[in-house]
Amino acid sequence: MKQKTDSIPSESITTEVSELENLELQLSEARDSELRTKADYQNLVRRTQEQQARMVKLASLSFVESLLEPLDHLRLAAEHISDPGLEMVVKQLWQVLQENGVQPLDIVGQKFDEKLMEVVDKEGEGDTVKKIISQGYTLNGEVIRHAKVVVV
Amino acid sequence: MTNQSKIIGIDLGTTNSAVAVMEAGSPKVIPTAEGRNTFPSIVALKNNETMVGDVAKRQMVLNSKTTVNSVKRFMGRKLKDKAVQEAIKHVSYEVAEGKEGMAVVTINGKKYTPQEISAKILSKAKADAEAYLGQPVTRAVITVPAYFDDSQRQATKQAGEIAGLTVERIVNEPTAAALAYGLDKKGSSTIAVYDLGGGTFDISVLEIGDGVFEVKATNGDTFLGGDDFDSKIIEWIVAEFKKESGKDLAKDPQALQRIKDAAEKAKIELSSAQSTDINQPFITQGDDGQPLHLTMTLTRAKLEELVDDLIKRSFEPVAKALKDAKFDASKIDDVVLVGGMTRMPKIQEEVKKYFGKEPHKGVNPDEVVAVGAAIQAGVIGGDVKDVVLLDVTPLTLGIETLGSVRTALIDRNTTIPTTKSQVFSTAADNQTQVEINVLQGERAMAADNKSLGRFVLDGIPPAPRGMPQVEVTFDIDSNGILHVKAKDKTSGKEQKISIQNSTNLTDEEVEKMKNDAEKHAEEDKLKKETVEARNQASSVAFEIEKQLKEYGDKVDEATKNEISENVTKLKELAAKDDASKEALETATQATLTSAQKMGEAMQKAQAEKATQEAGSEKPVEEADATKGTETKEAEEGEVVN
Repeated sequence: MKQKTDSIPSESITTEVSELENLELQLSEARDSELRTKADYQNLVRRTQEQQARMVKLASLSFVESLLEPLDHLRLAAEHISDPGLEMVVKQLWQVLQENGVQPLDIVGQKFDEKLMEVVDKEGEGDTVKKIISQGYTLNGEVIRHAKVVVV
Repeated sequence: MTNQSKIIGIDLGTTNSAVAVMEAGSPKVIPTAEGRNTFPSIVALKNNETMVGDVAKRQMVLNSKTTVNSVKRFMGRKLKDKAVQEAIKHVSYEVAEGKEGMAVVTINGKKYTPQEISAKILSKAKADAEAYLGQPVTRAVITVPAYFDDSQRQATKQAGEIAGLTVERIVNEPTAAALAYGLDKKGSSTIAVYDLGGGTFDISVLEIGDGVFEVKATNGDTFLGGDDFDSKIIEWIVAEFKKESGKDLAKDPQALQRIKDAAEKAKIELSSAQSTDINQPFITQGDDGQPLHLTMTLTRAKLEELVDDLIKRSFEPVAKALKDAKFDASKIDDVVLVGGMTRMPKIQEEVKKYFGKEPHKGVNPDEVVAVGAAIQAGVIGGDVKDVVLLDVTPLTLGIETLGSVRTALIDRNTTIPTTKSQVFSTAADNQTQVEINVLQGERAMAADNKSLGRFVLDGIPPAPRGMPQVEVTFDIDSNGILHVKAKDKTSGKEQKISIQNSTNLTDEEVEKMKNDAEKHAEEDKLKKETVEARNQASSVAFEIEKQLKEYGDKVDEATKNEISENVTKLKELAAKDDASKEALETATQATLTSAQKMGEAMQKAQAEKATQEAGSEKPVEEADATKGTETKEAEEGEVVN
């Protein structure tokens, strides 16, 4: 055995060993890269599903959002101008919106809740909602605009 | 290695923060639990509950004392720093003095360090990333402003650790922004990063060569940002409405809130449209109770006129930074825009005009820093190949040596990680301890620099001055954190510190020092040379006096008296604070000249002695030491106080 080993030039052993090491390294890098890509892919699938579910729920989100400001102003008008016709229009519009999952946050007199609203001013030391500056809304149960409130 | 946790990149901002990660080879911004790409850097501590981000922001007015915003302004800083005092004016919560004079936040009587508060922001970033990736996240790259010093970087790293994150690297924000545009692959170039965020403006000039980023200069305005632009629009709306109706809406907080929202919306719309309508019906009531409506049109041109001075204000720091970097605006190869305000067409136009080239703006300016941090994280984690990113130390690091001189160990702009050692000695006979005062800055005199920390190495065996060998080693790790070690070579005793949050100078002084470094260059040089001349003088006086005692009998009385007089004069002169460099040099020379006769006599005596002891190879030590004095002082004469 000893003789046989001696007969192989040490140079060629060194070359083969380093080549082997190099290949092993390449293999482990390739495996690692494959696993990473697989993990990224699985995440993508999971997230796409989650996003799709959310999309279905909030499909009309951007359209509804763009309606909120005019809706606010219409409500303001109805508060200021006492007119049965105007009241009727507001009521009608609300009905349509509610049928499509839009709900105003009815929070006056409630305790402040940062999940639903943002406080813009306080008139006392308490945390009860006194007044709504900007109406908050939910769409299919999810807050799409936080209310802006004054607490007292 | 397999399935090892991903490293996330975090842009820990003053106003907003963002997180990104490499996925399938490209950076992806991680949405928050609320579905947005960035979140406010705001933390609320309510009873035992912690809230971070939008939810904390929404209750801020209600719980202003227990809600912390802009805590980054206090990171790693002392309470007495000018920047801290200025920032305190802008926050509602209490800021107090903590350990070693550091600024801390007080909530319900309990003190929180800025790193503890920042850790809560980072914890949210971690949690959002874990929810997004569906796996635990334990490693992160965090960005900091290029001007952050060691203690601020250390504090940021600590914040990451408190949040349960191993901070793989602290990266400069402008460097991250440049990485996001792949500017590291362009070969060597110079880059200007114009960063106008919610509340702060930063300009950085970087130089890149072989994938290594070097920060050439930074400047900025710590209180200039998008909020100031909003205020200008609000002021205009209020003024216009007053002109039309005589009603001052500024006195009506609820109307003001509606105007605030409308102003922000108008600002955003005018980045794409040429004009926008601001309509707020029933904003208030007239004197006779009739409703008043606010309706006006804001054009892009009008907006640009309103904020003109703000935009101009941002170019003052730009000019300063270019001057510091010694670059002409036209020599900048790439300009990168960071921060939401840079979406404004007028700003892009002004930047283009100033630098004479189109700025990079493809990546969302709110996310670009996080994206760059994710790319860096990818490099570390192995997701990205072929990019080697090395940062540089922005300021020179050194220690205080005899005569209060600053001796540099690591020069500014040295690529890190790096290690440097230098051997120092003692200033007095039988000195058994040396104090190492670690300095950061560009000035020649120790007192003009920022002291990062100090420690004492004792137990040095008593020996004549200049004999002990104290090896001082500075090591900056890849996070830019400095480790200093001093070792006495004889006893083997050593002392070390990692630079903790210890600063001796206020920011005002540091800022001044930075600006003054150039101005005082000549004066500093003279001061340093004077100190060197004084050190040389006292050293020569000491040596000659010693020789005179031993060999005085080898010369005649007159020579001996002359030497003695000269030594006395030299000692007196060296003790005087106002002795000029010239006077010291002249007196030193005179002493050396008068001592020459003694030297000759000594050599003669030695020659005779050598002849007598024929065959002796060893040179006489005393003579050697005498000759060596001058060169020794010049070469490694830095003597630790």
